[in-house]
Amino acid sequence: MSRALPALIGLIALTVWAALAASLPEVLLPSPLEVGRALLHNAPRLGEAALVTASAAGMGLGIAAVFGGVAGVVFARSPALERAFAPYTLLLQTVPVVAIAPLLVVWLGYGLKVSVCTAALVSFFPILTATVAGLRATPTDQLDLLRLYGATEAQTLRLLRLPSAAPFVFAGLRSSAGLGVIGAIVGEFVGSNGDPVSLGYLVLRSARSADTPLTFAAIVASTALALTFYASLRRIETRLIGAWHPGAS
Amino acid sequence: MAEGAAALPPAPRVRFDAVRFAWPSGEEILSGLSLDLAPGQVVALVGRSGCGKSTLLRLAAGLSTPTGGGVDVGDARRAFVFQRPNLLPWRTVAENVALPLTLLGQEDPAAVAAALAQVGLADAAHKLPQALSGGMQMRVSIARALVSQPTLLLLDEPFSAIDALTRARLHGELGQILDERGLTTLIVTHDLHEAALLADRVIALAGPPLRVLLDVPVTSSAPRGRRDLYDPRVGALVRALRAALDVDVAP
Repeated sequence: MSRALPALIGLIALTVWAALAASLPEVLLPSPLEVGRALLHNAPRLGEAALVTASAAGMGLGIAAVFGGVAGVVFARSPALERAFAPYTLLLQTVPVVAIAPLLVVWLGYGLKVSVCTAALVSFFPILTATVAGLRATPTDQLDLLRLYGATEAQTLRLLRLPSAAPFVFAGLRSSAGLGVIGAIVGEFVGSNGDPVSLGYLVLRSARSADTPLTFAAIVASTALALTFYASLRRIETRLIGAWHPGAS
Repeated sequence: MAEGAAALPPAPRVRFDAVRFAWPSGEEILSGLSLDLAPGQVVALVGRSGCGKSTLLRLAAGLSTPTGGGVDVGDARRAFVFQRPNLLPWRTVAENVALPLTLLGQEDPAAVAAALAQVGLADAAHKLPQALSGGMQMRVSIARALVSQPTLLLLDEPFSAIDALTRARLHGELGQILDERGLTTLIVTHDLHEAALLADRVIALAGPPLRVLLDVPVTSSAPRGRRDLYDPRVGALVRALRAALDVDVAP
């Protein structure tokens, strides 16, 4: 039943979609069949575009992981620094990335750099907050144990705080995985000139040329990309900490 | 391990000298308590939850700082067994036991193996803690405490979360270790029988602020941990402790 129910809901949604599409022009809403056809017909093009978007999202996520992780370690150790930077990290999270993207084009020019930046910007905050929360959640008994044997700050971080925070950090990374793809696509809307062709560019261009089935196909490819990122991180998490963290196995 | 033990400093005398301790809120847990533990003595602290006996243990461990008076443990090498096994789940059993040596910069796989063998877990060295039962995890915790060759052993209700049969077995194992090593030992426990089984001296406490209700020696020639609970002397001790603790709560 638990497996059948989602499939049933999906089937109902597809049926409603097909019924609606039958009564509307294709340019407004193509049928699921037409979208499937567009997916097959444009598979190589979509695949190449997905690779470009995946590169931008992956690099953005990597940059966010490094900077978010390091900032998380610093903030967890120094509440005063965290308080000092809190308004600015919050600002970074609340300013719409779509509003920053044109500025990035001015500063960086067209191309991959813009989408890498937008992906990094939207991915940064969840990783930062997860890292801070994880580092602060270290059990006090375990901290006492290390204090008893005169552990240095560096030893405590390496041997206890970081491994203990790993499940939190992975949760942050997983949240950021989907956001990173969204950030990259938003960056591509504004900062891509079609060389190379990316999913964001494809969505925008097909919508402008009223090729709605291709727009839908690119959206499906974007969703698949975000899910692939999520699943890959889940897999890495299971491999690295699944043996001792039940939530990751 | 035996060779290492021969080179160890002697077990320390532990002195609590008019110790005061208060929480930042101002609540006073210790208000001038004095106690003296002879070298190699095993002392059980019994009392109701929240009376402050675990605070006394943390002061001896150096994990809390007195707000007045002093705690003198000499040059003791301290080890602490927590109420829960407190193992790091990402480290194998052997790596958990080795942790104190890693922190002290004294990696010694032979000492780790010997400590595990002493608690009967040589075969579990490469397992992760969650693959072990609660009793086995507590034995790993005891092995971790012993591996650094401590001279002062501090145990905070180490068997409170373990079933009765496993607890009885662990009493025997810990008793044997204490007899062999001659460590100065402080055990906090709620279990009066456990105190009588393992200790040379039992101190009944009430508080806060912490005060001594009864301080009695345990007179038994039987091996520690295997004493006969039906021995009239043990029974009399448990009755005296119970009476002291009950008297304290009577109006």
